[in-house]
Amino acid sequence: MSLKLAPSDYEIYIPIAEWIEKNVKEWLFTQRPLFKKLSAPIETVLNSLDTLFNLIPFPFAILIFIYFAYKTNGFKFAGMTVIGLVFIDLVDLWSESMTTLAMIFTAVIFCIIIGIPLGILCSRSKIFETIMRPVLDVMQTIPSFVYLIPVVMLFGIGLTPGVIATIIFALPPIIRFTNLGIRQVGKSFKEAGSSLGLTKLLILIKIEIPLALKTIMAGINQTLMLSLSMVVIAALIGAGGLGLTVYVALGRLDIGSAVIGGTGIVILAIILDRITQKLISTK
Amino acid sequence: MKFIKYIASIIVAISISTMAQAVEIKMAKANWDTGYFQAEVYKQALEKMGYTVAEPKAMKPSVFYLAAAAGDLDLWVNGWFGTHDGYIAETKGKVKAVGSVMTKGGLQGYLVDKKTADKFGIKSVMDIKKHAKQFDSDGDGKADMVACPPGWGCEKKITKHFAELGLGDFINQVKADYSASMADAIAKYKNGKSVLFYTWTPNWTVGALELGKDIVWIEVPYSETKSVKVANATKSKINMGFDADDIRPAANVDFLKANPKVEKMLKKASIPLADIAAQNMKMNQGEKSERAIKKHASAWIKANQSTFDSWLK
Repeated sequence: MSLKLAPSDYEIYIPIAEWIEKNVKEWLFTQRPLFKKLSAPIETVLNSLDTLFNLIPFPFAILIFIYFAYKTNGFKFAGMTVIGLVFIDLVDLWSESMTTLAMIFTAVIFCIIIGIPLGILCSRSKIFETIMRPVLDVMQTIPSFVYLIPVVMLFGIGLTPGVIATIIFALPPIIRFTNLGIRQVGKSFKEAGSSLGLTKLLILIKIEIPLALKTIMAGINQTLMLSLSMVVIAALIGAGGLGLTVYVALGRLDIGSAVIGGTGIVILAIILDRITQKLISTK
Repeated sequence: MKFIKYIASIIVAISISTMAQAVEIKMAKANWDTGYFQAEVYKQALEKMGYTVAEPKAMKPSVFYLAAAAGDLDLWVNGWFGTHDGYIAETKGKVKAVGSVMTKGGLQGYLVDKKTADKFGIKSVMDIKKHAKQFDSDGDGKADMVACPPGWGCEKKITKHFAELGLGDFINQVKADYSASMADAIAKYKNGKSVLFYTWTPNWTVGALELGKDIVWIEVPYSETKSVKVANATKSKINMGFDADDIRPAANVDFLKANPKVEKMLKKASIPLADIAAQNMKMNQGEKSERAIKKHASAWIKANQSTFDSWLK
């Protein structure tokens, strides 16, 4: 092992880390007021959903879940949903679950608002798609811990920054699936549209998007699942909910609370996944 | 296929050569980076004694004491006593503190930015009550304080403070990763907001926000600790709420029995507080990569060669 083969063995070193630390960090701190303003819409949606979900009385919330569970997956699944939710309440994690739910909904809503237009742009322009591809690859592969601290410097700590980190993580699939879905729409459909004298915009709205909807919904399902998997990591930057239960339990090596919090996340994941999966196939 | 064969034979060769190596000391280090330097100095001492030492893994105290009790790890030199007394007790005699890296070196306490402390005359954590809104960022009327992360010894202490002094009535503990919360506090301070946080020295936080200039220690009138003279506090003598800790190595008892030479070395070794503070200062100025810390450790050993050699005798 004493062979000196690598450049670093000869004290050659590029101080990129030091440069970023010195120049970018200070800049990040000064940009906070601007980014706080940018995150205002997310904060508003998040806070209202959080208050709303926590305000809905338990039996009423159960009814809403039963309705969707029954409509999409039938009687058996509705029964399992009830058992799961009652379990969550019995282990005293109901309000945490509702906060987590609000976070996930907000993340998915903003992923749709940002992701679908970007997906459409990708499907329209080969150049845009070529630019987006590596960006999306980075977003999907970069460990989320890397951008957690810059997110904190710009947006602070709490639920909103947690949701922002979640959006970064969960956005790629919806863009990819929207792009894919629209590109898969047969040429004949579009030609039929233009022969009827429809404008490009109308072809998009009336023909392409409806035909691509199944694929887009699959993207939304993926985004939803990815958001759920970010719940625990978002707790590192002060997002509450079930993730915090697990994070605190992990820190204290409190296996009991960790198992309960983890089970809560799994129950939510199964319910949401089944419901959205079926929404795809019925549409 | 040929390529795969080559790779496979290389892997086999490497695994055989590692298996043939002598007993390896499984060392850990704290997951606060101001402890890395001490860990590196001790690691080099063990290596000089002829042991192979695996690169220490960074972890939090709760995990270290559990793993050391089970024998998965042999030692670390980042124990803080008394804060970690509880963890040692939980290992039921399987882990013990031995020797001392530095005595009374670890200060802990609550801090407020100096500007706010001067403006509102905040001297003690009880004074926060009247000015809680000043430190409130989530709008619930309670001050937000960056506290200790779950799984560190200080969390238990802070919980005791909150229970005894009723701090929970006007202070919320921010529940998030410590570095993330501190990044937020620093950003708040740089944008002219008031900050309230827990920290310890030596630590990078007091480099980012300078003690005495940006921030000051405030009093925590906790009954189990006494007033002491502290620099850069709101008064010349305050009760910090924490006793000054001794930073000491902690090791698996069976490991020490099997390696009495190591125990002997740990008992002799120590590093002056001033040297650790000087090294931490360098880290604050940006020299905080693993590579830089290794260099600091080697430089310290060279400068104190005779002391270092005396540990190994």
